[in-house]
Amino acid sequence: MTPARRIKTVCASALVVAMGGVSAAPAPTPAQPTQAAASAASNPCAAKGRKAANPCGAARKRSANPCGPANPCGAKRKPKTGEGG
Amino acid sequence: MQRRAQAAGQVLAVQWQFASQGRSLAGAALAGARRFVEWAHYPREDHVDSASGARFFYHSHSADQRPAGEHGHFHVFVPTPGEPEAISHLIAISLDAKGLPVALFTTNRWVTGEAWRDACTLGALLPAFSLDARGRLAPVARWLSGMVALYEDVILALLHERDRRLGGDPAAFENRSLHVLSQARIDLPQRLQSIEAPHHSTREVTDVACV
Repeated sequence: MTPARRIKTVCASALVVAMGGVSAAPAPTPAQPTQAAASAASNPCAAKGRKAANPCGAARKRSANPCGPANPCGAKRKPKTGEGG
Repeated sequence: MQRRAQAAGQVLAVQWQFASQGRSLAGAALAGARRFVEWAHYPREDHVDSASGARFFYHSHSADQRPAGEHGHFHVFVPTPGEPEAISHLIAISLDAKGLPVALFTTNRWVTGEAWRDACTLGALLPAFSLDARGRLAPVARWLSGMVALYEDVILALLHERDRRLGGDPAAFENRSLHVLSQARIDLPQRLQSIEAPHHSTREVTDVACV
């Protein structure tokens, strides 16, 4: 069956009907500073001696690049010889 | 057209899979988390496709910075060919609480701290865009891949509109008053139906030529 025919079979209007029965995802809740601090302190990667998940710091990262990717410093890190593919 | 039809089938299959189970794609985007905390990344360290280098995460802004009706949005990034550590923001996709995509938008450089590339450069990467994942995020990655292909013309137009708004001024990259640079409301069911109509388009493709 071609993709176009599949679309006809499970047509877009059926999707709209099906969406009516979908439960809403959990609503966003505000971040609690105490929870964020506790989470950072118990970062398992940091405990194992690896670089912390967000070495630039969540608060700074948010103000500088609120939608930046995780590990922005890590992303720019050049792989060491023999590391990766 | 064939590619877009395949993308439509891919998007519809994932959306249907969740809808038929009464589950929201927005919930699946939380990667198993029970709570959805503003600004947090889902998954926490982002998902990176080890083959293509493309990455994504889902998150929500605080209530005062969230558009009405938006549950959260995906940020999708692509690496620079030959320089995988330099990643660029391709597009953001907003979802409502039931997991239907409601908008696409682009952002200024300071928002993501990306390696900036112009619309033509990013547009050239669109046909080969792919995002793969294993486990619970696999359908989400398939859906994102399909969405990028399904809305390729809209994404390209938004990227050009983004560049036009900045006007080639490097100082504008850090202008905090410029956050979302271009956006388009989308209607997925309508888009899926339009696949059957060969001359239908929900938005004019940009008139800016890429050389």
